[in-house]
Amino acid sequence: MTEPIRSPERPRVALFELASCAGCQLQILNCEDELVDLLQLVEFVYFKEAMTETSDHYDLALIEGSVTRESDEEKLRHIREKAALVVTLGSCAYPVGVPGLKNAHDPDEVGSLVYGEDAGFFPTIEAKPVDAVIPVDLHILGCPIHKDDFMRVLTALLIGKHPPVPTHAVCVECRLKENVCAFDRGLVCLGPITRAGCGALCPSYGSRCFGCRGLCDDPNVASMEVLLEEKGKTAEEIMAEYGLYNGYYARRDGGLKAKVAR
Amino acid sequence: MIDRVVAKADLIRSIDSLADKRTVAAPVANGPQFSFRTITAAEEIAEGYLPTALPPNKYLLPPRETLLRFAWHEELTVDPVIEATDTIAFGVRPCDLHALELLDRIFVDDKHDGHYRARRERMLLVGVECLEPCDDHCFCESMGTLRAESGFDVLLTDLEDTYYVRVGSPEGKEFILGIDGVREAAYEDRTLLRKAHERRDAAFTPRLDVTFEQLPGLLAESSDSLLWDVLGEKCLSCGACTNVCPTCYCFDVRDDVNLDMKSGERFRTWDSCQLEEFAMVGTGESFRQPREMRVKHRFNRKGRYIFERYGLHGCVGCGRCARSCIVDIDPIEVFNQLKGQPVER
Amino acid sequence: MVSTHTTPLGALKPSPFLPDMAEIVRKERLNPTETLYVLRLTGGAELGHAPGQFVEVSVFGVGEAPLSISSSPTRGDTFELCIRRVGDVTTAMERLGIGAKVGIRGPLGRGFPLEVMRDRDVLIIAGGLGIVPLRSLIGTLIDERSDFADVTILYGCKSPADMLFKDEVEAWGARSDIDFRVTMDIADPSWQGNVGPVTTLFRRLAVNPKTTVPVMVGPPVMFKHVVKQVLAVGIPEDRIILSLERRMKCGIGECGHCQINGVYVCEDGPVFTYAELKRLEEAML
Repeated sequence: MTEPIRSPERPRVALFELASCAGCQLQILNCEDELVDLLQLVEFVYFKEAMTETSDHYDLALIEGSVTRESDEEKLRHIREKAALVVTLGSCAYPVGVPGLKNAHDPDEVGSLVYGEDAGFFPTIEAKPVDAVIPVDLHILGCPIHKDDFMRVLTALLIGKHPPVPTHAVCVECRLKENVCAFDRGLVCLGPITRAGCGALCPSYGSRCFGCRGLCDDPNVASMEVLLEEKGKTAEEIMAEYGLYNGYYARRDGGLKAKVAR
Repeated sequence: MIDRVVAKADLIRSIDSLADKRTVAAPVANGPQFSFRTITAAEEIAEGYLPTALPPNKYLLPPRETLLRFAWHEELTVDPVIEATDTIAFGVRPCDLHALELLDRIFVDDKHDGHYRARRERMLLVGVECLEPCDDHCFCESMGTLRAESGFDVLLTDLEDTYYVRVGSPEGKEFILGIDGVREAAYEDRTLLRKAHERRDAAFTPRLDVTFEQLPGLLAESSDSLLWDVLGEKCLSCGACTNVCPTCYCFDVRDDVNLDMKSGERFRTWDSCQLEEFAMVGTGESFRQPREMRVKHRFNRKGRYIFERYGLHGCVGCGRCARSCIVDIDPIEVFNQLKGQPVER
Repeated sequence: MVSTHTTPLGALKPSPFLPDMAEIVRKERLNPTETLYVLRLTGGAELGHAPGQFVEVSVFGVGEAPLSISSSPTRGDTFELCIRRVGDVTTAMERLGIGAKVGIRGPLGRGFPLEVMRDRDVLIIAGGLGIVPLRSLIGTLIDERSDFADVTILYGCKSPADMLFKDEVEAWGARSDIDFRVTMDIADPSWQGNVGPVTTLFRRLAVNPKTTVPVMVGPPVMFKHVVKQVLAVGIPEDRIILSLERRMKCGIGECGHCQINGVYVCEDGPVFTYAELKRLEEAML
C-alpha cells in the first residue's frame, strides 16, 4: 500500500454506495475550499451524488455503506477485482454502523416492519461490514467521516505512505480537550475501547462515545465490561451498547473479544 | 531578592490591564474541573482550584507542534518553525513548578530544543503556594514538591487580603514592581507568612509509606511483583494518565502534506508509553507489548528512571493521573502496596 | 523567562529537528530487499561519524527513519546506508533517483568503543542485517589494521541469497590479516561453506578471554546464544559489546520511543556493553 497511486494520469477514483445515508459522500462534497485542489489530484469517474457519467475503470474504489443484500457481495467482489486500492468510508462500511442494528432482531420481523406485505420482494441478509466480504486496504472511519481525514488519507496515498490511522482509544483525544470525563458526568462511554481520530467529538459536546469507529487496536474489553457492570449495566445492556455501531462483530462468536484476537 | 507584599485588589487590577496586552493564562473552572485558559479579566480565575486537567506544560510543549515546514518549488526548502508569544502563566502550583523545572532541565539545558526554549523564555511563571491539600489524590508532601524554592519568576502566598510575594528572577521583579501599590515586605508580613506556613505544614501529611528518595529502590526491587499483573488486567490503556501528567513529555513525530502536494510540515504530537504502538519497531515487533509491562514502565519512569537520570522528580504528586483514571489506578495505592506486600520472585 | 538557564545557543541549530541535506550519489541493489545508498552532504562536508553511530534520514512528506551508518569514517566525504525496505521512509527511498535530496540528522548516538579494542583481539559476530552497522567498524579495522591485534569476523546469514556485500565478503575472506568465516542457516545447492547458526562458528574458535573484545550485532535470539558463549569462555561482561535496534524517533533522548527501562537507546547507545544491559528486562537479552 506504500506505493504511491501516482499513475501517469491523475488516479481514477470511483465512489460506490451500499446501505447508508450517503452522509459520507456529502462530507466529500462539503470540501468546498479543497475541491479545486482535490480535482487536480484525482479524477472522479463514478460518484453518484455528484455526477452522471460512469466508468468501470478506476484505481481507487471508495465504498460507503453496509452490505445488506446478496447482490452487494457480488458488486464488492467485482470492485475488488477492478481497483488497486479499496478504501471504505464511514461507520456503515466499517464496523457496520446503523444498518447493523437490524442484526439484533428477527430478519422476517424487520422485513415486514419496513416493507409490510411487500417484504418478499426485498430479500435482505444480515448487515455486514465491507471487510467481511472482500479484503479492504483502509477504513476511513466515523459517522460521518471527517473531510480532513479524507484529505489526509488521499495525500498520504498520493505521496506513497501509510495513511495515519490512530490505533489508540478516544480517551487519548478526549483528555487533550480537557473534557470532564463522561463517567464523571454519570454516563457510560465507549471511549476507552473505541478507536480515536474523531477528536473526541461527541464527548466534547456534552455527550459520550457511542463507538462509531469500532474498536481500537488494543482494547481491554474484559476490564471495560467489569467497569460497565460496576456502573450497573446488565450483560444485555452492555451488548446493546456495543451493538449500536458494532452490531456485526459484537454478535459474532465470542463477541468483540474474538474480533480483537483476530 | 527583596520580598514584597501586594494587595489582592491591586494585583487583580494589574492582571486586568495585562490581559489586554499579553497572553495571560490562568486556571478557570470547567464543571468540577479546572483548566489553564487564556483569560481576559482576573475575575475568570478560579479560586481554590485543584490541579488543572492538563498541566501548564501545554503552553511549552503543545499537544501538536509544528517543527519544520518544507516545500518543493524551484527546489526543496526546509525551515524550522520556532513560534512563541509572551505569556504569563498565573496561578501555577508548586507541584507544577517542580515539573517545569524537570522539563527545563531536559528540553533547555540538555537537548537545546529551540522550540521549547523559545516558548519558555517568553513565559513568566507566577506561582501560588498551596496552603491546604487538594484532595485525597495529591501526595506532594511525600514527593517533596509541596514547597517551591526556585523555578518561578514570582511566588505568591495568600495572606487573605494580600499576597506575600517572593521574587525568583529579574523578570519577576520587573513584573511585581510594575504593580501599583506593591511594597517591601515588613517584619509583620514575614510573621504572617511564617504562620501561614506553619498552618500548611500541619495540614499536609505524607501519604506514601516511603520517601521519594526510597522510591527508585522500591521500584527496582518490585520488578517481579504480582501487582503489575493485577494493574495490567485493570488498565484500559486509554492514555489518560500520561496525557494529564506534568512530567510526561514523550511524543511522536510525523509529516503531513498539504493538498497542493508541494508543501507540508513535520510536527510532533503527545504520545504515551501506555499505548501498544509506542514501543513498536520498524518490523512491527513491540518491545513492551504486555499491558502490565506498560503499566510497570510508567510507574518506573515516574518513581525511578527520571530521578536516576536527571536527579529531579519524575512524579510531583499532583494526583492528576489518579483523578483521571477511569478504573481508579492511584499511585498512592500502588507505591504503598509495593512497599507493603512481599515481593514475589 | 529562564534566567537560570544560560546555555548559549551559539552555533547550535535553532531546532534539533532541522536536518542537513544530502544527495544520493550512488545506489546499488544488493538483493531483493536491501539497497546500498551512497550519500554526500550538501556542501561536501564529511559526516564525521564514528563506527556504530546512526543518522535520521528524512524523505520530506513521508517522514524520518533511524538508519545505521554502514561505511567507515576512514572512507572520505561520502557515507553509506544499507536499507531494507520495511516502512514508509525506506520504501520511499527506493523511489528516489541519483541526485535526489534527503534530510540527514546526525551522526547520533554512541558508536563502538574503538579505544577498548585497540591492541586487543577483536571478534566481530554479525547476524543478518547486523552486518550493516558492523561494516563501518570492519572498514576502520582494515584501514587502521596495525592498531588492533587479531581480527576475527563471524557472519551468519539466513541463506546465500540473503548475504549482503558479497564482493566485500569475498575480499575479507581473502585477507591474510583477518580470520573471516561465514555460515548459512539454510544452505542451497550453490553453497559449499558452513551451515548452521553463527554459534557453530564460535564453537570452533580458540578465543583468548584475556585479550578478546567481542562485538556483536544481530537479532535478539542471536544475542541470547552468543552472549552465553562468550561469557562461558570467560570474557568479562563489561568487555562484551552489542548494538541494539529500537525505534529511535527523535534520536536525541526526548521522545521516549526507544527507551528500554531507564535507558535511551538513541542517546546512551545504540552500542552498549553487556554489563550495562543485563539487568534491563526490556533489552530482551
